[in-house]
Amino acid sequence: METPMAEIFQFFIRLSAFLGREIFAVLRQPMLILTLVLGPFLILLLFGLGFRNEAQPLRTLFVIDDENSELAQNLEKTVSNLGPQLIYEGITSDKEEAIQKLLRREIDLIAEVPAHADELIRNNQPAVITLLHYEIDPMQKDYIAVFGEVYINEINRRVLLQATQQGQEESTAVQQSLDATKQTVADLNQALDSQDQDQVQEQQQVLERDTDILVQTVGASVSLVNGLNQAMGYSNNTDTEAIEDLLKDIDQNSQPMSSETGNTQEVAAEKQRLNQLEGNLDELNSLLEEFQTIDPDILVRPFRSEPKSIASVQLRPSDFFAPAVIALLMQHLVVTFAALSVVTERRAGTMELFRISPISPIETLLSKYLSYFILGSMLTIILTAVVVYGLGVPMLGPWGLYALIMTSLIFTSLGIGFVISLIAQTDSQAVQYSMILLLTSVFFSGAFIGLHLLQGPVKVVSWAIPATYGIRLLQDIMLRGYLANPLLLTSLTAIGSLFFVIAWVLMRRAMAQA
Amino acid sequence: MKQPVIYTQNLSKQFGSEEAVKDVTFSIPEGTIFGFIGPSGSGKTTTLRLLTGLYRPTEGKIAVLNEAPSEFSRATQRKIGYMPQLFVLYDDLSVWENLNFVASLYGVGFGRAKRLNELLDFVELSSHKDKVVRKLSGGMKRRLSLAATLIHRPKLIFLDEPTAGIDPVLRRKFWDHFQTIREQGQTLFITTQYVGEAAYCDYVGVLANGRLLMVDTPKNLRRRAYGGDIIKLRTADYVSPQVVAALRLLPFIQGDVTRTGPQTLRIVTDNASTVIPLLIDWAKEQHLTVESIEEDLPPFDDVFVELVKNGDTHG
Repeated sequence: METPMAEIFQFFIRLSAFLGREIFAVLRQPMLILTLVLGPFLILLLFGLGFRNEAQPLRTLFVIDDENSELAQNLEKTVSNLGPQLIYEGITSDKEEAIQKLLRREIDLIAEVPAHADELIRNNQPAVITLLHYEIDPMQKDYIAVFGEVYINEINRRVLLQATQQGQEESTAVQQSLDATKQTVADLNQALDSQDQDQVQEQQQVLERDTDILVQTVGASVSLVNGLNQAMGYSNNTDTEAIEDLLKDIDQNSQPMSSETGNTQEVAAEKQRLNQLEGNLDELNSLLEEFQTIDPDILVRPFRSEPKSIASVQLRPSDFFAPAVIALLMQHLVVTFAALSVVTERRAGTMELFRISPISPIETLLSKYLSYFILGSMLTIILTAVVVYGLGVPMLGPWGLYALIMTSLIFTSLGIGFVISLIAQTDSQAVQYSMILLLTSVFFSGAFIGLHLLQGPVKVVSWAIPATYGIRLLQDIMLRGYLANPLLLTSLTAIGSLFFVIAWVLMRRAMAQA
Repeated sequence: MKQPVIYTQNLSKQFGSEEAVKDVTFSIPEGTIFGFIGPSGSGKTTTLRLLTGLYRPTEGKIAVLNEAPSEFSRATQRKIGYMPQLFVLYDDLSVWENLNFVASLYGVGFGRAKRLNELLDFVELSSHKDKVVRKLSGGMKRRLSLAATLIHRPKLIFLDEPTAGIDPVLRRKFWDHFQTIREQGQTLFITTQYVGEAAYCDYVGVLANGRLLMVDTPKNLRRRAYGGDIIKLRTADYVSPQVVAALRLLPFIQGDVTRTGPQTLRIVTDNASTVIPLLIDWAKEQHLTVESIEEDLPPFDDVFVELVKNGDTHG
C-alpha cells in the first residue's frame, strides 16, 4: 500500500509523462519550430509593409450631354482637382463608350451629370449626379457610396465658395457707393454753409439717390451672409443685424427735412442730420471692411472636423492588426496541436497503454494540458517578443495582464482542440475541424471584419470563438494599456472551463472499458 | 499448482451478434509462462483484452491479481505490464525518451536511469538508446516495447503476440528473455500463433473459434493429442501384420500401434520411458533386430492440428 505522500509524488510523475513527450517531439523538429515562429512573424511583417491605410483612388470619367457647354467647362474646373481619391479621367458626352471603358476596367467610376443641371437648380430641384460602377465587392460598393457623398459635398462647397467670393467682390461696388455718398454728405454740408439754396436742394437729391443705391447694394450682400448664417445654424447675427440697423438709420437720415432750408435753426438741424449720417456711413464702412476680410472658405465651410486620439502613442495600421494576428495564430496553433494529439494516439493504439497503466483520464488530460500549455507559452513568448521588439508594436499595458489573457486564450483553445481530438476519428478529420474553426475565426472573430457589421444572431458564433475575446483583450492591453471590459477575460476563462469539462468527459469515455 | 494470478470462469465476449470468446474457464499459477495459442481470429487478443480490462466481458467472471479488471486499483495496475501486438510508442522520440515516458505513466521515480539502462542491456538496445525510434528496425522496436513493458517491474505481464513477424533468431532470444523474467518470479501471459512456441511455456491454452480447447503443460498436450507418448520403432527385419497384432495384445501397450512401413512401427503408450526397455525385450523374443527405438516428439504444429481435429474440450 502506497503512502499518501508517495501517491501525491506519483501523481506528479504521471503528470510529467506528456510534458517530456510533447516538448521533446517538438524540439526534435527544428523546421517546425522555425515555421511556427518565423511564419507568423513573416506574415505580420509582410502585412505591416504591404498594408495601405488610405482609401482607394477611383479613376472617374464625367459624362455630360454637351461636353463643350459652359456647364462642362465649369465642371472641369471644379472636379479636375477635387482630391487625391478622385483621379479625373476627363469629360465625355459618349455614355456608351464610358460604359465600355468601365467594363474593360480602364476606369472605376462614371459620374453622369444631368443635362441642364443649372435649369433644374433654378427650378428648385436637385441636380442628381449618378455614379455608375461595376464593383462586386460589397465593401467597395459601400465605399463608392461614401466616396460619392464626400465628393458631391466638395463640389457643392466649391459652388458656394464661388458665390461667396462673388459677393465679396461685389462689396467693392458698395465701397465706391459708400465713398460717393460720403462725398455727397460733404458737398451738402458745404452747400449748407454757403447757404446756396439751389445747391442744397440739388445735393439733397443726390444724397437721397446715393443712399438708396448704398442700401440696395449693401442689403444684397448682407442678405447673402444672413442666408449662410441661417443655413449653418448660427444664432449670433450681431454683425449683419448692426449693418441692417445702420441701413435703416441711413435711409431715415437721408430723407431731406424740408424742401427749403432757410432759417438758422433748420440749417443746424440739417447739419446735425448730416453728422449722424456721416457717423452711420463711417460705421458702415468699418463693418463692411470686416465683412470683406472674412475668408470665403470659412463662410461656406465654417465647421471642419479634425480627429485627434487621446492615446499616448500614435498607432500604425499594422499595430491595430498585430493583437488580432497573435490571438488568431495562437488559437490556431494550439487547437491544431491538441486536436492531433489524442486522435493520433487512439489511432496508433497508444491509448491502450494509458488505459492499462495507472494514469487516470483526468491525469492524462491534465498532463496533456500542461505540456501543450508550456509549448503554447513558449511560442507566445517568442511571437510576442518578435512583435513587440521586432516590429515595434506598442505594449502599453502591464505584462502580467497580457500573460493572464494569453493563459486564458491558450487554456480555452486547448479545450476546443482536445474536444476535437476526442470526437474526430482520423487525423485528417481533426485537421479539417481545426481549419473550419480557423475559417470561422477569420470571418467572425472581428479580426478583419468588425463585429458591428454582423447581424445579432450571428454574433453568437463570434462569441463562441476564443479568438473573439482574445483579440479584444489583447488590443485593449497592448494598444490602450488597460482592460476596458474585464468581463471578457472572465467569459473566455468560463468557456475554457466548459471545454475542459467536456474534454474530461470525452476522455473518460475514451479510456473506459469497451 | 501455485496460487492463481489469473482466474476466469465461463468468460464470454460478444461483439454484436458475433461471439468472439465463448465460455472460457482457466487459471494461471504465479511465476509461470502461460502460452495462449490459437490461429489468427481465434479470440486470443480478445481474451487478453478482457484480462487487462480493455474489454468488459459479456458474461462470466475474471479475477486478475484477485481483482476484477473493471475495478483495478492503482496498486494492481502498477503490478501489470502490457505489450500490445503492434508498436504503439512514439516514432518521433528516442529509445530513451520512450522508456522515460512509459516510466512516468507508471509513476516510476525520477531516479530511474539505472533501471532504464538495465532494461536496455537486457533487450540489447544500449547502443541505440539515443536513436529516434523511426530509425529502428522492426525487431528493435519489439525489444523496445518489451523493455517498456518491464520498466515498472510488473508481477504479471501480458504480451500480445510478441514474436509475430520477427525472424526465428530474434524469436528465440525473446523466449530466452521470457524465461529469464519468469525465473525472476514474474508471471507471463503470452499469446502467439506460432504453435511451436508452446514448447517454451509452462502451461498452454489452446484456443480455436473463441473456445478454449484445453489448458495443460506442453508435454501433456502432446499426450492428449495422440493419446499418450509416441514411440518410433525401426527394425532390420520385416514386421508382419501378425507381429503387430501380437504387439497390440501386450499389457504395457494401451494405445494405438500403427505400421508405418515394412520395418517401422508407431506405438502410443502411457509412458515412453518405461515402455521402451520392455519393447526392446519383446523384440528380442520375436527375433527382431532393433535398428532404432526412440520417443517421437512431433512438432507442436502437428499436435495443435491433432487437438483441433479431436475437438478436445476437456480443460
